[in-house]
Amino acid sequence: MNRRIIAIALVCIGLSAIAFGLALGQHEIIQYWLQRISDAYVFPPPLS
Amino acid sequence: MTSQESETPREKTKQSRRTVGQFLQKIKLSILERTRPYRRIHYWTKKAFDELLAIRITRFFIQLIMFLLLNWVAITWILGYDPLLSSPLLLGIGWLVPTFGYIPLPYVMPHGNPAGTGVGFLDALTLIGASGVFPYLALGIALLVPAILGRSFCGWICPFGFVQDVCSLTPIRTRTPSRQTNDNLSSIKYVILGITLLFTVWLGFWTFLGIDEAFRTTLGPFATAFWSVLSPEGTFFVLIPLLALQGHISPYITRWGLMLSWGPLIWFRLIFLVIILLLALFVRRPYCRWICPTGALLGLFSRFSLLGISRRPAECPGGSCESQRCQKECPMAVKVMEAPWGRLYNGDCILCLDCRAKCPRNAIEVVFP
Repeated sequence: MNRRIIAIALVCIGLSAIAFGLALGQHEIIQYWLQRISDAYVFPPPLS
Repeated sequence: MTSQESETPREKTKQSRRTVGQFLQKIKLSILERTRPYRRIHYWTKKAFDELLAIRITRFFIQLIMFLLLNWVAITWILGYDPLLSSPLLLGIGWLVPTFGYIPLPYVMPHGNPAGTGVGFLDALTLIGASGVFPYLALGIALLVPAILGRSFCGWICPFGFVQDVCSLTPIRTRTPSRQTNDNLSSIKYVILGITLLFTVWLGFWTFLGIDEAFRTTLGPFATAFWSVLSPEGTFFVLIPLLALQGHISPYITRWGLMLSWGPLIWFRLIFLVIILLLALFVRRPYCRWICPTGALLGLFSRFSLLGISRRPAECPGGSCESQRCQKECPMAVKVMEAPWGRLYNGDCILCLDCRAKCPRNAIEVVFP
């Protein structure tokens, strides 16, 4: 029972942290990295 | 005058009712006993998952699909177009692929993958943390997902876990290290996690104060994300594709001159990856068991998970079980038989359900919450 309460508390804290992180735009940092990599390698160079 | 003759009509009626009641009770028990397997919900889920779909085959295909989706850019390179965006049949799910990039999920995927569509949450945590911002988003994922789903992402989605599972498909007989060895090696992942978090906090603090330039110069490649620079998944998903894209590795030409120009870090990473993959031929999921810091962090919270497995005391004979296949088949060497009845709370369990599929007595079931 105690474990379930801890799990529900973790879910609540996790949801709040995700909402806060998205509100702060932290996903854009990840997008920046992905974009930087994909801009650099849009198509592979010829193998030879 | 005998006792039979002395019974009043009322007593006779009582006795006959008792006899009828006992008879009905017998029939009821007999029906209950005969239909017992069909009345259990877990019997039907077992039928559906194990016999119709077969857990291991289902898991393999889910892992394969997720591996392809998380490296989707490579598919577009090979095909020359994006089938998810151009096919009218698949148009509806095309949005799923770029969505991976927005939310870091609890699998192992380094941020520098040139063909990648997503980032693992530990990489996101170190990237955001090292830039001087408190990583709310990645920490929120680290709390939320294992609290609900346990480490099921490790077992069903993680692309590097899939690579190790493919290695263990070879006909080489897998071996089980001794318990002492397993326990000793398991502590490595916590050490790596501690060092990674320490680097992140330290670098984030200096970045927050605006005096990180000298520190970053000293750390060199480790300044962005400490573990990604050394990890075998970083080598597999980032270093090797980059070397191939830059023409260092080619299936047609052996470029010894370029290979000799590689620095010691590149050689170390390649040798580390080869060791892990060779080890995966003999031991199931060695990286997940002993080294993976992502799994270590997830394991801290997944022991409170709402989704989990439990042993049914009615079916499981406990220590006297002659096969003990649940323990022998476990890729993470979880001692299922030693867990308390009712629920398994273990930070190492990746919910792959191999124990459930292999138990000859159908004693293991999935429970939520």
